[in-house]
Amino acid sequence: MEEILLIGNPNTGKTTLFNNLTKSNEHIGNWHGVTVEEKRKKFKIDDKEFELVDLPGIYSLTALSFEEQVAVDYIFKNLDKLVINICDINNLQRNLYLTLQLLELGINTILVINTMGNKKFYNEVNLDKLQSELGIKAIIINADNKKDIENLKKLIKNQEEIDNNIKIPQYYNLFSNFDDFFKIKKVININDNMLSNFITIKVLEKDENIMKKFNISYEISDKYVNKIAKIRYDYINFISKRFITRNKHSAYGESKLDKIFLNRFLSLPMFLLIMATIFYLTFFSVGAYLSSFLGDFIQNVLGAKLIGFVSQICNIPWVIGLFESGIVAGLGSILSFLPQVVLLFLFLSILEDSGYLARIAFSFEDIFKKVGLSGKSVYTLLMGFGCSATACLTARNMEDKNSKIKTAMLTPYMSCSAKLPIYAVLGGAFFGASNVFVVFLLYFIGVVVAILLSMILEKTVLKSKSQSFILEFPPYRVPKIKRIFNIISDNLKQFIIRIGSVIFSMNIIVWLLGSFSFGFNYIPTDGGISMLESLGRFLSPIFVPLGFGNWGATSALIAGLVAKEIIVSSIAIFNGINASETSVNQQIQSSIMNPNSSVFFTQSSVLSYLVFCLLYMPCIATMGVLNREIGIKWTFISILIEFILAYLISFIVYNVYNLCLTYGLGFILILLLGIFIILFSIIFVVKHLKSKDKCKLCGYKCKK
Amino acid sequence: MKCKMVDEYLSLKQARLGEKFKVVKIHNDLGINMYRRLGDLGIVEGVDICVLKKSFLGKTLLVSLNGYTLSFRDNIAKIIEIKKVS
Repeated sequence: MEEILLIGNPNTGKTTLFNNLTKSNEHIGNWHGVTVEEKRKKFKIDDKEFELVDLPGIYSLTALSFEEQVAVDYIFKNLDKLVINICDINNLQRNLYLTLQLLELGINTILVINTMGNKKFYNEVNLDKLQSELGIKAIIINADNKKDIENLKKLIKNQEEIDNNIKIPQYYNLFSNFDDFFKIKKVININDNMLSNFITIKVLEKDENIMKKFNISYEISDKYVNKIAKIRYDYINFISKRFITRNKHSAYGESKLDKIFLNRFLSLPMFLLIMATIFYLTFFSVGAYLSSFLGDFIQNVLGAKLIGFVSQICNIPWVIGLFESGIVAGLGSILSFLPQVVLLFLFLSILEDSGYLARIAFSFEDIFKKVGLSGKSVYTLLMGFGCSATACLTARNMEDKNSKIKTAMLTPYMSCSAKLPIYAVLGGAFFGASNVFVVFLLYFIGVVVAILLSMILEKTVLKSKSQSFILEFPPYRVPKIKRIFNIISDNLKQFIIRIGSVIFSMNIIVWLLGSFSFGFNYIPTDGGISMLESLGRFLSPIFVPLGFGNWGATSALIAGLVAKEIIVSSIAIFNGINASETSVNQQIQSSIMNPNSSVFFTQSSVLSYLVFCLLYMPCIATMGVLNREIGIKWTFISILIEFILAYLISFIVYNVYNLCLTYGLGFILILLLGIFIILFSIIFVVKHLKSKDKCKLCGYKCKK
Repeated sequence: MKCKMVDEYLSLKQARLGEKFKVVKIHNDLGINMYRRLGDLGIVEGVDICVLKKSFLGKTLLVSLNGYTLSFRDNIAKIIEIKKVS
């Protein structure tokens, strides 16, 4: 079986082509660095089996960020394999830069020029002449078109069968004119002439990774670096003058919409408005309507009929209890949020596909720089509103290690979609219609805490080293209907699998531990204290200062470490919700307001509970990803910080809210204002004192 | 000691919006990786470059070159020496 590598610049449609060639459904987006690790899948062309490897996007064979390193390492390990080099037709000149390096390396390459599904391209290519000039096979396709994919398959099969003799690009001898070229080549001990030539050029380009990999040490000035790039680009200009005609005058990625979205003053308010709309739609209008519809269905069909059926065929109390509270109430409380979660993911994907993300990164770069992040973190953080675990993975496209650790650490503070049921059920019970403000406040607290934490980390242990932010602007794209259906069905599938596996089994465990005592007596009939209750009672004193020191609330938090949805379902289980009567979530809501239940709250304690749920440790899946991406030490530190912050802020929220209730809001507001004024004046004075010995021109200490 | 902020050359940072410039030289102040990456992206001697937009605080630029758009901060703009296209 032959392996085929899929290589190209970021955001040129590699994964789209991968999906269409292998009939899979990997995540794509209109942003560079969506693919952060290699993905492989087998596919067949007329009975011959191939394996396609999708690699993260690269600009050159010298890597800068972590995900680029993955791709470059893979290429150097598989120099004898066939490569599909995919290029964006609209940005062909820049894309050909990578192609040239593949040719210099003598890799068997097929050049696939992707039209990106546009009808009007920025460039027109004379394909025959380009093929003979470069000496490789090239094809223009639309990666979403079936017929084009078939043509490409034929080409792959032909190309794979012949042993291609790559023509070395004609500018290559210019490199050997450099003084150091042959000196370096002597130092390199590689028999393969082509490879040793290429490594020599990479040494001239001062590629430290390659020097390390091939064990080369050679001191050289950096005077060749830009010269080499210029030689390649001169050749590209030479090609493009002869074989490529430009159709449009504007630059690729430039758009009239940017007059609004990138307006100096409008861009940030615009973004906040868009996010607020997204959350409003998912939580309160469309999402809530669909959810209540599904909730009714669950209660009438699953609840009433299933439990009626079970109690008919079997009369053992604990079996009925298992179905009633463990399965139907537990799962029902989460399942009814299916439309809202899917809707949230849909909105996030539309944001991702539209190309707007790059604009947000651009607008936020100034502010993010000040707090020690990069505009590129925007993608990871926004995806964190969907799922922290998958979002943390994308932190790989940061260039320096500290920024990567910081971004990954901050992602869990972006309240993920799994916490949505908690806010809706618990907040809705106590705040009713004004829950809108509570939910916005919670998201806001998450973001503010992340920003403050980032500032502190930047000033102390995790100072970002590389100050680079380079981002290519993709054009705006309208998501296709087919793609929207894909997103919806994909997320539906994932959500149902999640409910069916993790949440289902965890609910049963919680129910078992919550309904049986250590002597295996079934509590509702035999009485006694359940296993979870004993554990919860042991730990609950910790949470008394936060207002929710009852065993049920504590146990739910622990169970929620497996998956955050389980917090709500555990509360349903502990409070013995009877799923066959009214809607599950309404029952939970009325039960938590009743002080006789296992889990109960007051207005102030529910607020502090919500804040605690927002900030405390992420689920196990996220911890696993963090451990893999930033190491055990930082994972441990971030978990510790999360717990401490959650505890502190919940404590403040609980007590301030209680004070508000006793002394009135106005008094507290004046008090807080006073504290803020004092704090700011201290900061101002300190800053003023510090700035005395700074240069008046640049504001830094440049004079000694 | 000389103050670093006094510019010795015309850089992209001073470029006015919408005006076309030619790249004269890339300075190697931000380390070799950034120096190389700018070359990879096509910012080489003699290429035409134009600043399209600036962000709220004016520190992030959106530029066009080689028919595509790229955004970076002023620390990178500062190392790109340019001259006016007459």
